[in-house]
Amino acid sequence: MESNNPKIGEHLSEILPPDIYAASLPSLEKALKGESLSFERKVRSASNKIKTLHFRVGPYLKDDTVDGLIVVGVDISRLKELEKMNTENQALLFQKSKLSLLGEMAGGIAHEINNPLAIIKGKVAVAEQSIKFLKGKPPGMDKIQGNLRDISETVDRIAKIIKGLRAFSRDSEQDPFTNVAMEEIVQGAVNLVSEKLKSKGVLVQIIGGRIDQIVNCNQVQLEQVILNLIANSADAIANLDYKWIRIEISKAMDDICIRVTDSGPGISPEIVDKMMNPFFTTKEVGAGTGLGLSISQGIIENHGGHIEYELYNGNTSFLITLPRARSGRRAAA
Amino acid sequence: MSSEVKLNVLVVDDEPFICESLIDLIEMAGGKAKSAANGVEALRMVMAESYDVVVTDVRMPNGNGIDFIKGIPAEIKSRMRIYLSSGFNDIDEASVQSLGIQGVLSKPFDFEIFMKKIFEGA
Repeated sequence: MESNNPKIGEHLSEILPPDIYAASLPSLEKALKGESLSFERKVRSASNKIKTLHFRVGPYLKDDTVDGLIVVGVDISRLKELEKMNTENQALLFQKSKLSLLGEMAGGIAHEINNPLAIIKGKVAVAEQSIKFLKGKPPGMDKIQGNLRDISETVDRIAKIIKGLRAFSRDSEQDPFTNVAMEEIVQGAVNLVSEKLKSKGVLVQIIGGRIDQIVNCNQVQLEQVILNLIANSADAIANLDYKWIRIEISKAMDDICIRVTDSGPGISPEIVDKMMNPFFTTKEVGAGTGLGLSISQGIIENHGGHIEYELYNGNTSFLITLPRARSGRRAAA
Repeated sequence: MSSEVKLNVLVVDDEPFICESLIDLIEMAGGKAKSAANGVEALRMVMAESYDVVVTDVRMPNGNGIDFIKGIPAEIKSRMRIYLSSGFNDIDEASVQSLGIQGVLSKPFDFEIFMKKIFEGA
């Protein structure tokens, strides 16, 4: 297709690849009847690249009769690429504006819900204290106390969800960034859940992580990201025979990479498509808010990095890439 | 008649149920407490009576908590411990410092922590 050699006298079927010739034949026949038409075709170029060509076909008239065809093919591959990029950018922008809107909403919701929660918890606390002041123990009191405890715990559960939502709000973005060794962040996150993991029989291994592998970051937020990934892994592998989570810290060019791999066999494609969306969860009702991964993604992007899922040696793995801090001592100006 | 001096607490919140239960809990723990529904009312109360501790909400109609704290005369302020109560993290550490208060108690309260702060300042 890229040849500039004239092919005078040859039949079109000898010039075009057979599949293109066959596909083009109906259009060519229409053009021979006097119609003008245009269409796009994907073709493989001589350098084995897929190109998109835009064809215009029209009759070549001589004394008002069709004497031949005029076919003009233009390579529009670059245009197609740009269009695709534009669509992707728009999708990204839309995703970002959705998240920022969610952030604003989250702030409002947190305030509006925490007040009524404070009322419920306050009233429960008063009821519990009042019971302590009662003389003797009337029958059925255990049941009342048990119910009060349940109410209080449920309020805590709601408060926890609201707290998770707050991570979306812009307030935390304004916390100053400091230079922290990635290993410290990972270790901090693991420490928070190590007892729980031990009791579930999950082995955690941290590999790599030197003191000079430093990121300029909001430490609490990054810990939250690692914590989310560990919690997700622990839930996903709970019923497997082998339960392990491996966190590898490494340096690649100007980036710090953190790979969190677990013993799971990977995530199904239909879940992969949706798992970064807010409120998407595969966990049973009440077990997860569906916010962990989307919050994590937001946090990592705020740090100028990215997070992606991939299969690593046949296991479920998330790879976080963050820009390495320039100086180990001072915060980036 | 008992001569013991009870801890005197002022609870400021526009939610009557919150004021009610905080007063109940403080009284059951051996303190005494009153409430105000907004910053303006609260300022009037701290000028008229001496309190050991003030717990004030931030967002309230007719005088928010921050303005109330800023409005308390310095010599009265120096005699009490002040806590902000908030359902949203709209106060950062720097603001706590500049307001000269003891800290922020976030809603919904953990009452074990709440009572410790109120009675022991810890």
